[in-house]
Amino acid sequence: MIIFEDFLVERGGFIVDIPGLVLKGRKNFLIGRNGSGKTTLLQAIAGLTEGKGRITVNDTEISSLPVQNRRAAMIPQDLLLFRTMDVDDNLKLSVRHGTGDISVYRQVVKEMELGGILGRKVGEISQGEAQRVAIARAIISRPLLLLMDEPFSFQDEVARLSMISLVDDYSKEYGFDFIYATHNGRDLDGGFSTLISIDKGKIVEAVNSLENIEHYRTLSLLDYRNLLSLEGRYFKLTEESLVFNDTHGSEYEIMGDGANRFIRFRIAGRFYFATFKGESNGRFVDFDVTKAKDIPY
Amino acid sequence: MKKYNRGNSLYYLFVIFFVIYILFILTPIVRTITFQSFSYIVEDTKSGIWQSISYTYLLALFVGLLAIGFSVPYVYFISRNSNSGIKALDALVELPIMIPHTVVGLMMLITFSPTMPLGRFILSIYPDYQFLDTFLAVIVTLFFLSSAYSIRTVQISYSRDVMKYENIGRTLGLSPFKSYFIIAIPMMKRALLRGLILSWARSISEVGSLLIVAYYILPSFVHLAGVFIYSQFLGGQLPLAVASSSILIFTGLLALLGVKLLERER
Repeated sequence: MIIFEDFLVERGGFIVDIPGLVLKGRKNFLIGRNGSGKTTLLQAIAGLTEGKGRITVNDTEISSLPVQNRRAAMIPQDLLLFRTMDVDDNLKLSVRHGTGDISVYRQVVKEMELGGILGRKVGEISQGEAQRVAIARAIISRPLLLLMDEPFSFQDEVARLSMISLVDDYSKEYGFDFIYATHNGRDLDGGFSTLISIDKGKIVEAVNSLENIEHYRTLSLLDYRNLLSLEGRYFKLTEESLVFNDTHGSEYEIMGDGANRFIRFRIAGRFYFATFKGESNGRFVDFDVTKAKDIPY
Repeated sequence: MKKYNRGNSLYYLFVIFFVIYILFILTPIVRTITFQSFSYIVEDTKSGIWQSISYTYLLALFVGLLAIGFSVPYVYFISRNSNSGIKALDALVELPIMIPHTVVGLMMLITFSPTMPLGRFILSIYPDYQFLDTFLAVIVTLFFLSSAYSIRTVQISYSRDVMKYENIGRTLGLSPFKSYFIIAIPMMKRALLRGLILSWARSISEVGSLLIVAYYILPSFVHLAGVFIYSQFLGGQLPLAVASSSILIFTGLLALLGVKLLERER
């Protein structure tokens, strides 16, 4: 469990403010646009950026501890494997000089099939191998909390979901919580304990299932369909809210097929998309907002 | 990967600038080396230039090492500090580069001479303290002039690249000390070597300030290379001064070539 109390980070005029947040489960995702404050928040949790307030991880108050005592391992987007060392030295670094555990090293190297690349320099291994090494290096250090800042974002979906599952399995086995920052909704397909949506340094909402998401800002990160922003109001569209006629509204085009059939229309220079299974009967589409769901931004 | 520039007219236009610049650098060097016959240059080695060059290179190396020694902790502190007052003080690092070198010589003299307040204070602690025409004067003056080069070279490497690796090391449970010496320093090897070379090279080229604080070094009365060549020129011995310059340039090129080879091997 991770508890934030009056947590505030200020960096270069940008503020991340979390008055209160409780993450009860192991598997937490942090979602937000680029520049929303994900990296700043993760760095502050790790202690790499100064933060005020309290963070407690499984009854240990870590916010007053120096970085090396927080046991909050970090995997950044560019992985940052130590390029002057070979793979083995990267993995054993925390065993020799930090909080690592040699028995975890042996088990992880075997299970993640890293034995064949131990003697190679990190510049000589593939991106996929580098990602496995970065996960292994962090897990071997025996963290209480693993912080991941979009480390697999350049991988295909199969590889990315596989890596997240790998972390999830080790999290169960070694009893650490993790926070995984992403802006890709597909990363949530394996389930989550809490999804934290962040924008401009503030928590938009923290939910424990996709059905509980209310805000336009969160929904628009997860799906491009059935959302509409109109004159400062935000709507979740239903098929009933689409009104076809020949006199007014927006021109539209039907795209896709089957379950992925939708209409595309344009309002104020911006395209929107709404799933649509029926038949259109008019040149224009307009909206009956009483049949759409008015949602907060 | 081979760079591809077919159809890039700007690239071909800028080739001219490359050629002009390289010729501009090379022409005086070639002119100096070929100004005298080879046998004349060999003869000049008996003039005392070897001793001057040896002293110059060794003292410059010592100053370069000193500059690197200071760069490492200085850069760590400044890169991890966000105080605007401290950042403003950091701007002082470049100041010695823009001060005319004869002025630097005067500054050193009126600061460290035993007749001046700070010098008098040092003299009260070390009764044998001397400054003018000593190794100390050379080292202090060259350090003042050349340390900026190593500090900035190391700083670029550390703050733009290495610091984030070091931080990851700390999240794996390594102390700041271990993270710095086990992760950061090995990553900065190349920058440290480059900083050393730049400070070393800058020290070798110094003349102006040395004319004031160490025209020769006591007790051996050895001139450092730049001063030695300048005194040959002032004595109306242009051919000798050019021959000594050829030796200095040639040995300098050899030294730089050696360092480049060493860097490539790594």
